[in-house]
Order: sequence, then C-alpha cells, then structure tokens
Amino acid sequence: MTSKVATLSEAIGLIKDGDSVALGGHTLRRHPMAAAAEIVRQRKRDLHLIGWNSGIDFDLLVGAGCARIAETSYVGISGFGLARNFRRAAEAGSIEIREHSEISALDMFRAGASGMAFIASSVLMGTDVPATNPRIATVISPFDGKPYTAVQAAHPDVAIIHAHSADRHGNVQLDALHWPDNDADVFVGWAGKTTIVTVEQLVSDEAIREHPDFTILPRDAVTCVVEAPYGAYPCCCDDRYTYDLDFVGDYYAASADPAGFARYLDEWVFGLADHDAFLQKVGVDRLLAITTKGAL
Amino acid sequence: MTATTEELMVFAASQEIRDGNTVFVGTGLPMLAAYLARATHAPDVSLLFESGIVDPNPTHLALGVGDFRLMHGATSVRGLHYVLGLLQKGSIDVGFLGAAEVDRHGNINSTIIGGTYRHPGKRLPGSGGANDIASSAKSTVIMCLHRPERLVDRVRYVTSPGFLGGNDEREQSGLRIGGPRMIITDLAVLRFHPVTRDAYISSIHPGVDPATVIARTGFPIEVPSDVARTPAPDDTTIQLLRGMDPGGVYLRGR
Repeated sequence: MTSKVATLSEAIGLIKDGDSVALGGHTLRRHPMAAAAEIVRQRKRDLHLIGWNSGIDFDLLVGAGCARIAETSYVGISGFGLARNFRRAAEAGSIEIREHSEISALDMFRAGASGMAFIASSVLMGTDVPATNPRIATVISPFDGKPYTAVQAAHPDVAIIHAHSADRHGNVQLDALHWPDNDADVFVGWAGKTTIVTVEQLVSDEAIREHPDFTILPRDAVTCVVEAPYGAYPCCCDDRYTYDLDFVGDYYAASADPAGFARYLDEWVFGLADHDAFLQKVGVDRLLAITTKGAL
Repeated sequence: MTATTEELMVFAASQEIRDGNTVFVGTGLPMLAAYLARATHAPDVSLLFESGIVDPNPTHLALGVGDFRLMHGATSVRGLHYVLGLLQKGSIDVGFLGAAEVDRHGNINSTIIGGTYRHPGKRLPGSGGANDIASSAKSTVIMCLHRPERLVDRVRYVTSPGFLGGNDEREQSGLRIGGPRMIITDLAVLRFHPVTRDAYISSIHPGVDPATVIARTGFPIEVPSDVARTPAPDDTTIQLLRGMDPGGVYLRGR
C-alpha cells in the first residue's frame, strides 16, 4: 500500500485558486488551524470556504484575502465577539456570504457524503436565509404535500479536518474521549473530492488496528494525512489540549484594524517557515499549559 | 438581598421550565436558568446541549458550547445529530435564544444591522443553531437588551423565525410547530397576543419606570397602569444562583 503521508506544504499545495474548501471544527474547537495558516502562507486566492459553525479559521482566511465566498452558519470569535476580519470584508462587500443554520450546513455535508442531491429539513422556512444562499430551496413533499427546505449537497474540491491520529495509509482516528459533535467532521471529510487530514500524531498500523472502532475516516476516504501536532491551536482539541484564550485574545485585538492584522500575519504566518516554526514561536511553556490529557 | 437585573432575568427564564421538560440550552444566562430550574422546581428536567451532551454536572461553568468541561458528569454524549434530530422531531419543550435584534412578532436578526445585505452597516455572526431552535422547538424564550434599536417593529433580516408577519403567518410558512413564548429583557417581560401575535408588556421588573419601557421600545407599546411586576427571586434562590457562577462569568452585574 502506498503511503498517504504528506507534508503540510505538499497537502495544501493540492488546493487551486478558486477551489471550494471545506474546513472542519466548531466555534473554537478543532478547526484545522495549521492547515489554514499554510493556505495563507501559500497565498491561495478566491476560495469558496465552507464550514458548519466557523470562527477564527474563517476569519484568518478572509482577513488574509484568501476567500471570495464564505458559506457557513456562523462566524464569530467565541467569547470575544464578532470576527473582525470577516465583519470588515462583509461590510465592504468584498466577500459573498452564503447563510445557513447549523442543520442546513450539516445537511449539505451529509448529502455530499452520502451521494444525495439534497436533504430535506423543516428549518429556515419563512426567513430571509434561503434567499441568501443559492444552495437552499423549497420542495413539496410527495408524501404529505407540505413544504420543506431542501439543501443541495456540498462536494468541496478540498475538505480539511484535524483529527487525533492516523496511520501512514490514511486511516484516521479520534481518541475514545472526544467532543461529541465530531459527526460533522466525518461528513465534511467524506464529502470532499480531495480530503486532507492533519493529525496530532502519526501512529503505527498496529495502533490503528487495535481500535478499529475509533477510525472515523478509513483510508479510502482520505487523500493525504499530515502530522501536525497542536494543529488546531489556538482552538481546543478534545481531551488533548484546551484552547489558548490569551492567544485568541491577542488575535482578536490584532484584528481590530487591517494594519494590525497585517502585522499579525507577518509575525505569526508569513514570518514563519512552517507549522514547526509556529510551534517554536508559541513555545513549550504555553503549549504545556494548555495540554489537558485526563483533565476531564 | 436584592437580585441584579441579570439574576432577575435568569430567574424569570427558569420559571418557564416545567419539571419533566426537555430543554435545549446554550451557554450564558440560559444555561444558568436551566441549572437553577433543575436545582429548584424542576429536578427531572432533561438538559440538552447542542453538542449532544445530556444532563451534564460540570464542576466548572462552561465558557462556550465547545468547552470540554461541559461533558463532565453527563449521562450521555449522543452527538450533534441526536440533538438536532430531537429538535426537528418536535421533542424540545423549551429552547432559549439570545438576540441582537428582535421585533414585535418575535423574529430575530443575528445577520446584518443597517445597510443592505451586500453592504451591511454591521455584519453579525449569523444563525448558528438559532434558526434551528426557533424553527423547531415547541416554544422559545428570547433574552435581549431593551433598547429601541434592539426591540424593533420589524427586523432588517429574519435570521430566526418568530411569528413572521403575525397572525397565522408562521403556520402558513410551512413551519410546523412552535414560536416564541416570551421575550425577557433587562426591563420587562413581553408575551405575544394569541391571535395577532403582537408583543405586549406582560410585566416590568421591580423598580423600572413604565416610561423607560415605552421609551426604550422601538415600536408603540402600552404599559397598563396596573401592570404586573416581574417576580424577584428570594434570598435563598439568589444565593443558589450566585453559587453557580462564583466567578461572575455570566452574572457580571454585581
């Protein structure tokens, strides 16, 4: 079997300008931040970002000018306030936003993952959301004659999620103890035409086979795996580490205006060769302080 | 002992939870309201969090729905689809919603303030799970600040449905159940007329001047001279509540 192990640079190199790129994670939890930073570093442009409940990941990519469309149910910096880069771009009209609720956002990934053209739901009706997302329409049920909301499947050119471990073949696992809305990440991963998974650690074939029930994405669903320890930082990563709210707060402050954010990008993204250099700059003390294994 | 405005709001919200209800909870003041109801009159309430966590007993207050500590002591972590499925099945008795802007029919805007959709004056985060709750829960309790720019005649953008244009418009839209039960503000409690679905003042908080309520409501509203005062929690309840948030994470105003 061929190895699916890639470097972060190689993996993100698969993204072309103009691609639709789905990002896993939720609010401040387990967004693939190392991958997002590499997208910025490689100066990708005109991306159609797709998420189900987004935060600092979307804000970073929008602020760095990588996105043309942002499609998700939410973009905010949890606990701090509005996502300031996202807000500025929205108010300037420089990005197109396609609205969702969480159910419709999940349904687009579920439909994409299961090969369905659309999935029906009973949310969003009567509101302004369907008119502001071409993926959402009304259908009449052939069974009860009532209207339902139809959400068209998402087939992202590239889907990126962050997980705990994988073997070299691309079998991806989450620890037994993980945050229970990971179902979303599974569908994000399955929906992708190309699926990149960053993991906290690459492990042996035997380690994967010891707990096949922990595998969320088998190798057939995965294009490449990248070892990126603390790859969700400053977001939290289940029981591996919690979020670094000081870092998020500094990010939030830096994003108050474009000049401040440009300095942030120079310092924390462009000025660093790769994710390893980023972790070096964050420093051992800070990483150990958020590492919470067994703290539940 | 006098309850702060936030404590009064949390207490009012907790009174909407009946024992045995299934309640959809976000973090913030609604989470405290649900914990308070469980600790007092509703020991058999079933608390569901968006992440699929059922009946947690955390040792620390969660800072957000992504806070891993929220899972502590839960009976089940059934996942997102379970909880969102319960919503669409109509199994949630009460859902709580915050609102940046809400109108007299209980429609919520959390998308844009001012300007046009393509060039908004202020871009907000979007629905998140709010539309799902507003569309699907049997009833919702909305909590927001009572300011003329926040409590308006008609929201600029309907992110989450209340009674839409009033009367039976919600039912006609295809939405199957629900609708807002009340709006709890920092000044008053508003409920909805059973036919027109227009908001009216149900009670005003102790010490609040009726003129202030009128001035801070962004649409014409009456405050009857014999208007009820929102019940305040007793000392035991206030102490219980403060014990739930000793660090003042959500109960900031004291």
